[in-house]
Parts: sequence; structure tokens; C-alpha cells
Amino acid sequence: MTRLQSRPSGHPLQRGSRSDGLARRRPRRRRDTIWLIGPTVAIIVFFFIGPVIYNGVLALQEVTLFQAGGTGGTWVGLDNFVDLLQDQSTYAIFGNSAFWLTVVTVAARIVLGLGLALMVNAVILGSVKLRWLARSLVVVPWAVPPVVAIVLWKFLLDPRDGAINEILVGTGIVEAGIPFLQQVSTVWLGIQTIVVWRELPLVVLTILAGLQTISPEQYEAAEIDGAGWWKRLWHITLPNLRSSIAVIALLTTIWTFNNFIYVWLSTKGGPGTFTEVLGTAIYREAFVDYDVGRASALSLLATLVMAIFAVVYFVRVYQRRGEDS
Amino acid sequence: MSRTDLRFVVARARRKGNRAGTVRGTIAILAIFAALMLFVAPVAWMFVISVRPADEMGNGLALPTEITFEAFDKVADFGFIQFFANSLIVGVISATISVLLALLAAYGFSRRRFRGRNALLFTVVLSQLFPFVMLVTPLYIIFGQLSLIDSYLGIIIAYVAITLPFSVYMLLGYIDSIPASLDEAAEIDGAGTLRLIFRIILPVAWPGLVASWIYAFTLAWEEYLLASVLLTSPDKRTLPVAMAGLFGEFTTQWDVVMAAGVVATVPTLIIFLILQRRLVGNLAGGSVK
Repeated sequence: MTRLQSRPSGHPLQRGSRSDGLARRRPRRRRDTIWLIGPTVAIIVFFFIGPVIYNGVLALQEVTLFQAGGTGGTWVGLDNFVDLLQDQSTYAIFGNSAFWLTVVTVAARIVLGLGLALMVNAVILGSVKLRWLARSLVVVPWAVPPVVAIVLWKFLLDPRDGAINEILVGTGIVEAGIPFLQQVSTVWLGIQTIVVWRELPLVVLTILAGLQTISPEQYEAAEIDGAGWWKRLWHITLPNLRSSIAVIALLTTIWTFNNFIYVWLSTKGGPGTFTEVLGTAIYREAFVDYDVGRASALSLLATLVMAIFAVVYFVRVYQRRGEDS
Repeated sequence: MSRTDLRFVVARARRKGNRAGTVRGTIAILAIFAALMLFVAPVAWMFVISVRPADEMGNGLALPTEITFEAFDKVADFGFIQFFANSLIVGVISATISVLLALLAAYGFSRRRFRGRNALLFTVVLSQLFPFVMLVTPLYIIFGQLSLIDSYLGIIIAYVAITLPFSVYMLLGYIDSIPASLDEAAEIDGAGTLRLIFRIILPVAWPGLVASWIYAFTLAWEEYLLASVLLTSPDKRTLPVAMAGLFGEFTTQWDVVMAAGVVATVPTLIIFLILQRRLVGNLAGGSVK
């Protein structure tokens, strides 16, 4: 949001018209505005707004994937929603998405991300000129496409050939390899490890960017006052990082809550339906069971929950712009 | 990093009278790199396994006794040269279209005032937060009716659409920081809008364009859900979909699966390592600060 802040006066949504002296040119300008913005707006309407509205229409029907493109389904009013809300598994799916997939991994990403960012930013690395190496290493998992990351971790966590079980068995911590992704007691830990590992670099980079904005004078002053490392972390670093952390926590929450790929490719929602989340449930309803009406209704319920986070995000962003200007 | 290298840098730091010369400093550096090595170890292991002979799978964590590219041959037999080309073509075309459209739109949002501007800008930002899994069912049906299923045109439209919001937003910042007096001067000289954008704006905003292009390309390169739903014939698959398919087929042939992973990872890894310095400033700083 720097770009929006860097405007000379206020943020773009509040700024009035500029360059009144050029009023005579208005007609030409208005015409070229259409072809400047038009293509982008058309694509966004076609790809985002259209499908969202169509989704709402489908949610009111009993319709299969094949009927939807052809003969159409039957109108059933709010039946799909009633069914979903009476179904115990819907609550389990929301619970899994909200807690095991999102809350746990976002919290872990913030804590570990802060730790890694502080390491990479450590003064001592600068003094031996190795910060570039640390920064390069820390982005590596982010360069691994999610599909590859999941398959790689399925290998690492494999009970027979996986490196993690080789280490655990080799050091005598366990007697036989643990089937991490196949059993209820460890499956969430496995999925969470994959999500956190792959998505950690973004959090590290964000916090790293936040760290660059803290002025060295603050630390020098604290050092002169005799504040130790922990005191400086608690009283200077963390308060200064508050907004970076808040925004990245919100964004990762929004992106993770509906995530499909991590659970789908690592467990397909199993064992049984133990790790079923919103993303996999919507996909399963639509593309495995072909029940498009139910899939659309579930999407809408998930969107409602997401809207709450989106509102918090926007309030936060606009508040910050207000403070800055 | 070898131990002698480390001793050298530590000695250099000590000469400078730095904290790094202390035992505590050395331990801190070692601890930091130990943690980072652990963090990247999975990727390193993927590279190792991809060149280790298949019959050494029982050797556990042992390094390869010889280096073989047999696994890569099998990956090529599976059609990965085609899939690599598919991903490359789809990624390059969609990223280029996305950046060009975003440049025009960002210029419009920055330099023009019109009714509904705020609402449109808000919609652009909002669509950035939209989860694809909710769009995928209605999109599949709409694309089906427009014969866009199983066509590169369809998937390119999809990737342009999902990358446009962030690109517009990122470029808006770059263009906003260019003084309007620059393009007003060019306008008085009689330059048309398009000429003005390419002559005045583009040279100044190119770091933003590069960042947007890389962002759009990477997203297309890594995307799985839309590609798996919208592209149905096997030879049109992109790398992520092919990778998932290969894994389903060769579940226990880890060397083959890891070799495919290496093929899919190397391009983005190169881009990221070259750009790591800029990433801190652009992506993270830009989107969150």
C-alpha cells in the first residue's frame, strides 16, 4: 500500500479532481478512459463478478454439473442452505478450515517468520557480509511450486522411504516409521508442516521489510540506556512491526481459509473425512459428486465468513492510510 | 560454507574490531546458518534424490554413490518436455497480456477522474482476495458454454484475470509516484495517450512492470486448480497438473517424482534467487507496508 500512500494528497479513493485548467480536454479524456480501464474492468466482471452472481443462482437449484450447462436444474429455494446447516459435517468442515488449517498455521507462520526475519536481519550477518546468502536461502521454499512442495513433503514424511522417518528410526526415537499423513493423530501436523514451510518466506519477507523501516537511532538510544536484546525486541522491534504483522496475518488468513490444494493433494480430506476443509468440500461436491447446487451454497457460506475478514482488512488498511497522511 | 571460509570471515571481522570476532558471534552465525540449512534441506534433498540411482532408495539418507540422470529420462518419456513448454507458453503469454492491460488500467486510474472510479478501484482490490475454489464451479460451466474448456485461450484468460488485480494495484503506485507534470508536458507537445504511456511512463515504471510480470508468470507457472479443471486433454496439461498426475502413477518411484519436481522448480528458483534483493522491497514492502 505504499504506492497509494505515496500520493501527494490523501489516498486515491478520496482525492478530488485535479488539473482543472485542462477542463477543455475533458471529452477526449473521457473517451480514452474507457479503453484504458475498459479491458481490465471487462475481464474482472467476466471472471469475478459474473461467476459470483451465477454462483448465487446455482445455489438456489438442485442441479448437476452436466445439467447446469444444458437443460438446467430445478428451483429449490433455500433447501441447499437448510440441508447444509442441518448437516453435522458442515460444522466439522468449517471447524477444520478455521482452526486446524488457518489459525494454527497463521500463528506458526507469524512466530517462525519473526524468528527467521530477525536471524536474517541480524547485525552480525551484516558485519561478516553474509546477509545476501541468508536472504537467498530464506526465499527458497517460496520458489517451489505448491504441488511440488506437497509431493516433496509426502516423500519426506513417507513411513518407509521418507527422510524424516529415517532420522526418527535411525536415532532410535521411534521403532517403526510413522505414517504421518495416514493416521488421525498426526495428519494435521503433517499438513500444517507443509503449509507453514512453503508459505513462510512471504511472512519473513514482509517482516524483513518492516524491520528496515525501524530507525537505527532507536536501537542506539536503547543500547545507551543499557537495554538488553530481549528488552529491545519487546520495546522497540515488536511495537514497530505491529502493523506489518497485522496485515500479513489478515492476508494469510484470508488466503489459507479457502485453500484447496494443500489438503487435497496431501490427504484428499482423509483419513475418511477427517481433514475435509472448505476448499476440498466445495471441489468434491462439484467435481466428484456433481452436486453443483450444494457446492455453490457452501461457497456462499464460506464467502460470508471471508467477508468478515475482508472488512477487517479494509478497515485496517484505510485506518493506516489515515494515520500516515 | 566450509569451515576455513568461516574462519576467514570471522578473522576479517575481528580485525575490524567487530562483535563477530567473539566466540558468541561465531556461534550466532553458525546457529543462524544451521537453521537456514534445515529450512532449505527439503529442496536440497529433492535435488539429491533426483540424481541418485533408483536402487539406492534403500540406502536411506546416504548420498548417491554415482550421479545418474535416468530419472530425468523417465520424466521426459512421460511427456514433461511438452508440459514444460505448455507452462512456459501459457505463463509468458498471460503474464505479458496481464502487465500490458494493468499498465493501461493503472494509468487510467492514476491520471483520469471519472464517475465510479472509487467503486471500480475498490472492486479491483477486493477481487485480489477472492478464493478461486469458489469461482471454479461457475467458471467451469460458463467456460464450457463459451467453448473455452480445454483451450489455451481459456486458461490464458483465467490467468490474466487472476493476476490483473494485483498488477494494477502495484503499477498504480509506480505511476502515482511519477509527477503528472511530466505527461502534461508531453501532452502539450501533442503526444497521444498511448505514445505518452510508452514514452514517458514505461521507462520510469519498468521496475514495477518487471515485478508484475514475474508475479504473473510465477502464479501461472504454479497454479494447479484452474489448470486441472479447465484443461482436460492430457497433452495440454501444465507442469503442476502433470506433476500431480505423475505422482499418482509412480507413487513409489521417488527418484522420478523428485526429478519432475526439480524440472518444475528450477525456473522459479532461478528467478527468485536473482531477484531476492528486489523481492524484499517490491512484493513484501509494496503489498503490506
